[in-house]
Amino acid sequence: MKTIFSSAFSMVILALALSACSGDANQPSNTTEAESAAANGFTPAATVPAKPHKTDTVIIKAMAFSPATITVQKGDTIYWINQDMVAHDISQYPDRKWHSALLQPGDHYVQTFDDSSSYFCSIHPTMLGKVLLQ
Amino acid sequence: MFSLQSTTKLLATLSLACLFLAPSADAQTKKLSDPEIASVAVTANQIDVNYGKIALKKSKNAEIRKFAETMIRDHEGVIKQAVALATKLHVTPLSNDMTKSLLAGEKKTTKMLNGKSGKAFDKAYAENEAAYHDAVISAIKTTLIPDCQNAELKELLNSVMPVLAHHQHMAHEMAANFK
Repeated sequence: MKTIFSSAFSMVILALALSACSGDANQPSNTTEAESAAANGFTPAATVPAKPHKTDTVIIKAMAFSPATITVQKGDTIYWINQDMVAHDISQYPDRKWHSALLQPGDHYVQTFDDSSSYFCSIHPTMLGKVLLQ
Repeated sequence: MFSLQSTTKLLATLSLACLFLAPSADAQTKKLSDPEIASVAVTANQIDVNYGKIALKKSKNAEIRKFAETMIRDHEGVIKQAVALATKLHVTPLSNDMTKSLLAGEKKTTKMLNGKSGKAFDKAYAENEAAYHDAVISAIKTTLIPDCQNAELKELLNSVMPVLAHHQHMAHEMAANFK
């Protein structure tokens, strides 16, 4: 008896739930497909943003860039921090087409990349680094 | 066989190293204290700043001038950090035989550099920088680091080694260009 009552109760709950769902779906709506999709937590394929840009860190220490070669995606940012004893700079190799100001110990420099680039410290030219675009 | 030029250079290097490494019989047996190490470190850096200033005053060569600017900037940076650490550790740099030998060597070298001009000066400056960095690196490795007691001071000495090694490399390349 108890089992039959329990099953009947479950059926009623299920029926009410189904009714509620189908009712909402059939209601006239002023929202666009995109708005509706967004409201439901979806984004239309046409406006899906590219993979979010990330920031990678390069440490300057012991007269070297670490890592010396870093692979990034277009639009990613690199954050250099000078943890060395002496001042350095970050300059495009070999022409210094882009470069940082002088970075004293503790200073940092940020640059976004849309292309691969080699760089060096123009004060200590044996310090070389590379940014590779994936 | 050694040429007269290379023999002279070798002797200069050795005498500089001797000034640094064997200032006296007492100093050979007596270990340096941390205040004495701080004094040697600051003095050795200041001497190279002073040589750089002489080069900026006397040389018109772009490579020499750029190197001298780097020496002034880097060694002043190291002095700043060494003084900050000594202040933090309440260590007052204490003059000692090695400091005195360094200063005596500076006096001699300054006189030698001031007596030259033009290409002769550039060559002498470049060779002295190569020899000086050889001697300083050797002294830090064999005396200052082994004698140092304080971990933070030892860490500072270890941290300065890549900077000096870079200077040494640049100085030898520069000296080779003036042969």
